[in-house]
Amino acid sequence: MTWKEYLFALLLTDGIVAAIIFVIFLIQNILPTANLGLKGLSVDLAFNNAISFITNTDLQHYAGDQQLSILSQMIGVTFPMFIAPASAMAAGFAFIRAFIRKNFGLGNFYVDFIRITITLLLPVAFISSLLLMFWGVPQTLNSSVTIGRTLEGYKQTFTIGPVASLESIKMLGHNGGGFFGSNSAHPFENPSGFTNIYEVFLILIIPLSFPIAYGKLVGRGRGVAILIAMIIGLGTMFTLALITRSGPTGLETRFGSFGSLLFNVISIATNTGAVNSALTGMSPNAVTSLFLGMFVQAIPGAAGTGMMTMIVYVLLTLFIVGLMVGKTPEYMSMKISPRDIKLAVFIFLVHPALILIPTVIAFTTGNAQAILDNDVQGEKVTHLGYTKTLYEYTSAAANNGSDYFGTSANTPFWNWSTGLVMLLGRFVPLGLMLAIAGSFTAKDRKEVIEPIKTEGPLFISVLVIMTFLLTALTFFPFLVIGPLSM
Amino acid sequence: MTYVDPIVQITVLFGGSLGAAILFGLYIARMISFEMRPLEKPLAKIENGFFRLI
Repeated sequence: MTWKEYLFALLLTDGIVAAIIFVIFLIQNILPTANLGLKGLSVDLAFNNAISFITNTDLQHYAGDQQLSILSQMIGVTFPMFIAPASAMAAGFAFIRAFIRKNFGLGNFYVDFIRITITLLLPVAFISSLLLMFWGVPQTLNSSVTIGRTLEGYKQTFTIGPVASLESIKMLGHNGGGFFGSNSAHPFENPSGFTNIYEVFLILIIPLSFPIAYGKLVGRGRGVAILIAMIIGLGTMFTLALITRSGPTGLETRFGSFGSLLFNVISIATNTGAVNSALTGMSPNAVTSLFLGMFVQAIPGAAGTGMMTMIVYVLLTLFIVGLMVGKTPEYMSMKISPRDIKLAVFIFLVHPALILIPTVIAFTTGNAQAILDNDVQGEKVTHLGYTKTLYEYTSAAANNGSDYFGTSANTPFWNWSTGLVMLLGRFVPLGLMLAIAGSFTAKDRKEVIEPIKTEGPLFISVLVIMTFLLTALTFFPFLVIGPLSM
Repeated sequence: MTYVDPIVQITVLFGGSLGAAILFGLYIARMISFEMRPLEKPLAKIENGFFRLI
């Protein structure tokens, strides 16, 4: 397939699935497994949900345990949790193929998609589901269970359902949308400290395996350079988060401050977006580190897209370093053309545009103030209020899914605006990255040593510094008036 | 939860993740370059079944 055909196939597949789950959310009340009194979702919320799950964001403006039927949870939520990461990983496959050798081709989307789903995601998710069930996560088609009597003499009813199957792919595929409103803080999603570590382990496997695959195919040094750059970025985020102690308010006592930070930082750095504690319990430094992960999107980033984004940073780094030393930018002995650089810059700039423009619109139209409640003192919005709004759009644009607002953002403005941001934040960069892949797959490889080596400690240092520098130059003023001033 | 030292948590987590990532990475590399994967025959049969389905 050409890059255009590959992109079209990806958009078509995701579009069909999004349309199906949109309808399911709308009419869930007349479909099987709907509880008595359960309503179909409003059009704006169904749109937001469908886009949210197909873009791997899983931003949830609803409480799953109260507003969705079992069928909606299984087909509307769990099913796209396989489709969305498989699409992104397929795009990642095509992107890597562009660098293997000239005219190797980008592959066929449908073949990649099926192979990833059937031979990678499904088996690992199945085994993980069994393990999670063994460790106490429920898996049943019953929607509730009533247990004995409480100390006060009442019977207590718990919402349950097919949680283990959702939980495993939620982590493995960097989805992040929980079965319950409180996500991984709920004991049925994350029963113990051990499952907490296991779920973080599931999150990390695929993003870290992409640079290894890349190294195997285009040179070990290049893959290791990208892997180390990712780990340095993640380590920086985690260290920043640990500098000031978070909590105890809002944190889950079963996991403590460290367990909460470990889970949240890694979940958000990989654009999973699952959380095991309230973001309001996080220290300003921890919130800044979470922003950093969503701004960069490549330390290590989500399945497929993290790796692609990091290579875009490599191209930008080579271009800037090439300008400094007066060399024509080349990657793997292929000339980086002005068009490639324009595409890379556009990928980089789409992200801040999708975050900052809607944030301004939300404030100027009064929609942000309307749901900030206590964060508005008279006419003045607090730094926390601004942070929450900025976080909402950052999370949507990065296809992350964690947020401060939760169900309070279930208003037409927030549902439509974040839906559009998720849509553009997903498919515009993905399309541009495939365009870069299309360009590189047809390039001649020269038989000379590349002018700037793209492996080794020096290049890793330059790549890390350049990535943070570009991000800081773009976003630092907004961090200063947001989390750093809280 | 019984208390587990944070350094032990980090070591186990990153050691395990990197170990698993190497195995997955090599498998993914084979998928990307269309090389033979472990269990290629049974996997191909399952995949072909899905291709026929769609």
